[in-house]
Amino acid sequence: MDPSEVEFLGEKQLVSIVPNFSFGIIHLISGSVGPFRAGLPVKVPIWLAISLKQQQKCRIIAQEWMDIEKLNDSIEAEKRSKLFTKMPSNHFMDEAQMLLMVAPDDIPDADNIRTAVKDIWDLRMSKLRSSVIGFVKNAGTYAKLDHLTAMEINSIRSLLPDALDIMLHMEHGGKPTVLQSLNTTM
Amino acid sequence: MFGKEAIKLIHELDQCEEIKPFNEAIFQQVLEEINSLYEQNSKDVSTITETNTAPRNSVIVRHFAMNRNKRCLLTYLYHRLRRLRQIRWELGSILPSEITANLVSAESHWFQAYSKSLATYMRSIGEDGLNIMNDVHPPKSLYIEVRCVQDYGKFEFDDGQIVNLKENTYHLLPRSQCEALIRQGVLEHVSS
Amino acid sequence: MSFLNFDSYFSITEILVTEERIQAEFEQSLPNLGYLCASSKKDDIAPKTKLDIPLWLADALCRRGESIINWEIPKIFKDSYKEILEADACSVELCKWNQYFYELGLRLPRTTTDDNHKLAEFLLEVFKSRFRIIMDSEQNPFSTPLLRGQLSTLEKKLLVQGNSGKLQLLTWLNKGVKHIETSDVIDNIRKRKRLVV
Repeated sequence: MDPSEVEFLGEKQLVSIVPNFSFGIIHLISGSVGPFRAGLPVKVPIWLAISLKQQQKCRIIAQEWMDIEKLNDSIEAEKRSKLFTKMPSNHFMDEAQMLLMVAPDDIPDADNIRTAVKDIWDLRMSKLRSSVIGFVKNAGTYAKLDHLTAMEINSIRSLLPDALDIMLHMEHGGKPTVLQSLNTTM
Repeated sequence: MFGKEAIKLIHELDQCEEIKPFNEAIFQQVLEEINSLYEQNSKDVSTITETNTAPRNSVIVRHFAMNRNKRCLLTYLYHRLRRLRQIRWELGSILPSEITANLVSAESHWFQAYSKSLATYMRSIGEDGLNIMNDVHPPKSLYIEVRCVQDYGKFEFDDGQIVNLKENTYHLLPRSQCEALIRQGVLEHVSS
Repeated sequence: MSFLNFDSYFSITEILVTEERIQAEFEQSLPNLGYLCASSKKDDIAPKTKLDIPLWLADALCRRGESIINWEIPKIFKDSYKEILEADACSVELCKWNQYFYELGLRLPRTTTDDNHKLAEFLLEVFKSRFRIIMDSEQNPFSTPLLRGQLSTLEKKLLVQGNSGKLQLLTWLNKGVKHIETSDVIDNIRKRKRLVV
């Protein structure tokens, strides 16, 4: 999966906005949004928030977890824990990317938040990397992936499933079929 | 050893991702090898008797050699078609002459038929049809900024608007209309 | 994009691997196939003739009830080579041993004993200890040319796939927006045109 597709899924997460217009309820396949009242906060999917923001029709309210103190606490917790800690959102990285890019003026302390999110991401990615190496090396048969977010899981998708496939094939004593999986993923 | 020519076709596939000129010479040679193996086998089969079973071994070897050759030929054809299909998804139904020059007529026919099936299918979706070649990745906006890489001439959009695409001009165009042109290398998607 | 996922009949790798030679000794005579031995002038292949034959043929001849051939395990799977791998798998230039090291080991003709199984288990251990090289070089997508001689084809494919995923992620992290790109087919045609000019 391309990261942009994971981000697309992340766009369904809700975020609060303060619209500067009034409008009734919009009925969409994925659910209804609105009604919009100028000056009153309302929750909408991120894709809609971004679109309205680009047309200067709203102000985006930062997600609750986009708070420098909370994020610093998360960094400490992530450092202390051997396992992955729970993230405030299953799409924390893509949400942060999108909202900070389109509405840095609406989010207080945007630069520091961006840095903190990146720190958490880096910590978790290096943890993920070493656990993948350990998992393969010790021939684990299952891995505990609790609290991994969508973008993180996607980051190992290009390598790990095929590696495990090869290993499974070898464990079965090598029957002449499975190795082709690499050939057919174009 | 048997199958020595046939494996050349597979090496060709392995070494290059593109569609090379159809290797008619080797393809024919492999077919001839299969024929001669077949003839020898039909000769030898009649010499097998209850006391003289040795020719059976040779028949078996030739039989597997025929199968091997057949597998290589079919694999050669199969992967060329797969690549052709991939190109259909990337470039649309009109192929650049650099590619058509490398196809044999059966392959060109297959391509036409495949394009037709796709078109029929796309027309059948929804009320007005749906172009499933568009928005292969999630679109972010309705309009995108593009730079024209080569002189293309006039291009008419669905709504009747006409744009003159000249080299090194910049345009803000509906994404759905220019995605194919970008993949064909006429336009370039630039960051806004 | 993979739409059709047929079995391995059309697999390019599978065909190339089964073209690898192994040493075989014929148990029975093969009339009129003497010309397969370059050194012999006779019409027939006599019993006890030794010949390097491709895996596809060896495999087929072993699968029959009464064996027509005896085959010899390639030296790279013999104990002396195994010991080198056991000592330090990561430093071996596997591609030089055989570019299809793993596939070859897994595709050797079946034996009645559990040798195949033991070899597969050994290959698994080798793969596991060498996986680290792939993970490490996946971190720096630009340092890979150095690894060409070291990795086997299978490992290289994994690495290339991992790298492209890594690159997508980096692009996304830096730019955020996915651009529509010119097809590789067109890019290649252009490159060739430039070469010709």
